[in-house]
Formats: sequence, C-alpha cells, structure tokens
Amino acid sequence: MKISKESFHNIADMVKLSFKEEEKLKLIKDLNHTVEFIETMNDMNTDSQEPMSYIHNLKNVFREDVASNAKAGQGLHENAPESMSDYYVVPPIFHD
Amino acid sequence: MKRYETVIGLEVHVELSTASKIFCACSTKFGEKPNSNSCPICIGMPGAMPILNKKVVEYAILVGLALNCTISKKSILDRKNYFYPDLPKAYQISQLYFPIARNGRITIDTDDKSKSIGIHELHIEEDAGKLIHDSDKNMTLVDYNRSGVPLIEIVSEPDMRSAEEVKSYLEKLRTMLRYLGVSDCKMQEGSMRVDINLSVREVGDTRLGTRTEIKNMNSLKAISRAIEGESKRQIDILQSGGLIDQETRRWDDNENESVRMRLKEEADDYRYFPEPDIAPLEISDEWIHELMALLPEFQDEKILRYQKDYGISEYEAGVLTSSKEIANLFERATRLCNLPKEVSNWLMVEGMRILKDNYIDPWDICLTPERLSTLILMIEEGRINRIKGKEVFEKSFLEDVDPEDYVKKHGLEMISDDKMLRKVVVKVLEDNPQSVSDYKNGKTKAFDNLVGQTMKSMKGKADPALVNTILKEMLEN
Repeated sequence: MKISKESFHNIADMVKLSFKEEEKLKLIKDLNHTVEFIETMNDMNTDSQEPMSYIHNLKNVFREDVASNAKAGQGLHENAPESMSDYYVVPPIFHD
Repeated sequence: MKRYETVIGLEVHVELSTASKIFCACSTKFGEKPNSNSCPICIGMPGAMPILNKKVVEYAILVGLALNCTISKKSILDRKNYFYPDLPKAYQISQLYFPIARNGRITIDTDDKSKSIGIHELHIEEDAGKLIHDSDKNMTLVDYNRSGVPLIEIVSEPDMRSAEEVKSYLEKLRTMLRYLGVSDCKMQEGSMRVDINLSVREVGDTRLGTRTEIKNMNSLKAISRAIEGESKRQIDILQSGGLIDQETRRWDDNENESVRMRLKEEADDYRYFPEPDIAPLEISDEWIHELMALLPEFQDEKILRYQKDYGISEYEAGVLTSSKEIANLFERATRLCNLPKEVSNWLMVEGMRILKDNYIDPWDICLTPERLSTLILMIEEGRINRIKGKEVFEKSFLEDVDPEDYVKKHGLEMISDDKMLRKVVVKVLEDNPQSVSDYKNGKTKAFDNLVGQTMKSMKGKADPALVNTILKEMLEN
C-alpha cells in the first residue's frame, strides 16, 4: 500500500485539516514511512492466529444504573471558546 | 409493462429508558435545562473514561431474546469516527464487529397473512447531542443533554415489501419494547427513529436492486408516505431507462418527496476500530438465563389466553393487550371483581375514548385495578347508575380520585325511591303534553324523551330501569 496524493487529500478532508503544499509533500513521505514500517508484518504468517480486538486480557466491569444529581456539567460550557446562555456555540452548520 | 416490487429493510434506533446515561452517571431525563445533564465524560473531555451501564446491556439482551436472536457470548464496542459538533469526542462508541445479538426474527400480521421478518443484528451505542440552528445570528447552538443517552439499533433483513408491512413491523416492535419496559418508544419525541433502506426490482428477480437510505423518520404516517414516494421515484427512473444512485436521502413530508443528502461515493468512511477504553463484554449463560426469566407474556400470547380464559373476542383481546398497562388493568381488575366482560367493556369503550380525547398514553392512566373493580361492583350492586358511573370512571381514569369517596362527596348514589320518582314522573308528564300525545300516537321516540326529561330533573341519578317501569305504567293507564 502506498499513500498517493489523492488518498492523502481524502484523509485530510475526512479529518477536516488543510495543509500547505510543502507540508503535504512532507506528510505524504512520513505517512509512507509509517505504512512501510507496518507492512513488515505482512511477512509474518498469521494463518493460525485469531484476529485480536483488545490487547489486555481483561473483561469489562459495569456501573449500576444510578443517576447522580451532581450536575457535573453545570457551567462547563463556560470554558468553551464560545458560549451563549446555557449553550455551546459552534460555527453554523447550515447556511441560508 | 414490467412489474416491480419494493424491497425494504429498516434500521430502528430506540432510546432506552435507563435512569443514567450509557457511559456516565448523568441523568437521561428529557426536557431539562440545556447542558445541565452533562459531565466531562459525555462532553468528551480528553482523558475522561467511559464506564458501561449494566442495565443498557441487560435491556439489549432482553430485546435480543424477545426478537429470537442469538446472544453473543463475547461482545465488543467499537469507535465510529466522524466530525460533527453534536458528537463531542469526534467518535461515537457503537458496535460493528461483535454486536450484542444476531440472527433473530419477528412475526408480523398484515390484513390477510402472517409473515416472518428477519433481524440481522442488534447493537448498543450512544446518542449524540442536539444542534439548534440559529439562522438570525448565523450560528449553531449545542445541547449535550442527549449526548450519551443509551440507544439500541435494531437492523432488519430486507424482508419487507410494502408500507403496510413496515407499519405492522414497527407497531409490533413498539408494542414489544413497551411490554419489556425498555423504552417509551415515543416517535414524536425522538425516542424511536427509523432509517429506511429501499430498493425496487422486477417481480421474480431474486437479486437486490441499488438501494437508497432515507434517514431519521419519526412518524408512522410520514414513513408510509416516504416509502410510497421513494419506490415510485425509483420505478420511474428504471422505467425511463435510468439507473438508481446509491445515496442517502431525506424525506420532505411537506413537499411529499425525498431529496438527496449525499451520494454513497462521498459517504463517510467511519474508520471503525475496537474501543480501547472498554474491555470486551463477556455474556455468560447464567446471565442470559436470568434475563430470559424476566421476559413478560407478550401481546400474541395474551390475545390467545384472553379468548380462552375470559371468553372475549379476538378483537377485544387485541385492543385490551395493545399496551401492557391496559392489559394489567384488565387482568387485575378482573381478578378482583370476577366480571371480565364488564371490565373489558369499560376499558374498550370509555377507556379508549378518554385516551383518544385527552391525547394521553396508557402509562398516564391513573385508574388502579382496585378502583376499577370497586366502581364496577358499585354499578352491579345498583349503588350508582351507568350514567353516573361514566362520570366517576372518567374522573378516576384521569386523576387520583377514589370512586367511593367521589360518589359520596358528590351525592351520586342512585335513587330508587319509588314514591319520589312517581312524583317526578307526574310532573314531567304534565310539563310535556306533546310528548305524551306523540307516544300515544305510536311514536316510540317520545318515550325516550320523557325518560330523558325525568333523568334530567333527577340530575342523572335515578334508577333508569325503575324510571322506565313507572313511565310505562303511567302512560298506559
């Protein structure tokens, strides 16, 4: 697998990041290094291995369904870059 | 001309009625002050660790069992990555590879037949926050109270062929979820939301056509219209030699047409991967058996039993079991007064009317089985008549009102005093000479008028049978 200019644009677009032309070239190179590094695993024979989804041999613990009245969120939105009355404010999603 | 059939599969999102959110202890209560039910976990602060609510998994297993699914022994949560301001972590914790349950089925009834609809899978996930678009100020406001409210998503196989089958499936599912007590399934409040996957193909073809997805439907009527509109749109395209684009569409119920949201080619790549903050769930046989014992008797079983045990019709049994609340009221009141037909009549006629007139849900009914039984026995024993009975029924159906107290307080006891009623009837006959002569000339309707006048002067409390007898006797002589 190789990261092409096109696939790089695709990834950048998906994570909502924009780059200058020289940054792009550097990042494509870096990404390709990373992919090559991971590709060494292709040399291993994994036919008899079960796919792994979790690295620790642990099982989940639960919490009981009890709502606390702590209202931990009270005032949290005031830390946001922009807030209005009780709301967080973000750039408009739709334009008229 | 070619004949086409519509092929439909549904994804149904259901908000679970737990007290707290799926990964934190914030309340799930609807309609609270914006952002008051939020904490570092459900607003996605870096480093905040989610801890899974046990009840969410229990509810999901219960629904899985009710839908005849295979419950996974091992289930894993996954991250679904996308950027949108209603999702503060920039990923939704959901399930893709190892959902809680798979391979189920549900039987639906349409006009002339029963049909089995396959359930592909059922998984748990978190809901997103709510966005409010302020077009005046050109900004978007975010409320994270709903962020982290637990959802189950039930994915059907593409087994439905018409809007009618879809409606039947959704009604069946909703009744079942309410019987289980896992959700209120209020579509208008968004606690049950439906995505429709729809394609058309020539009758006889076994391959699936290219499908479109219509997102976020929240009313049964709009769903029916969307299915009819979208299948017509697709058939028109195919008939004019065109091809269907695989895309996501939005139904505009005012315009009665669906509009494109995005093409599948530009669709999201969610880059799912296992959620590292939550270890795999182990679901033991013991746990599954414990939950299996909690499954209630569902509507279909009740309908059969009611006909057998109480001798009521299939139609009546269907209405009485349409909700768990009414079924419980019926069964318990019947156990107390042993008059199933009476209990059924009151609930079927008056109960259903009051629900409809007042736009309330069965779980808002105040009437208890004890009070319903008391009221029915008061009528049977002739302590109040049916007219006043209706008034008392409505009062105690809607409010915390005890029938005994109400009847005493308002002096509603039935009056069966022969002497007193005779006096009243004499007066009524004197005041209504026209009705009297009409009756004598064979107009039976005039009799009803005279009964009505007598009841009116008795403020509705007279014994109607006795009024009838006295009137007949006096008119004949």
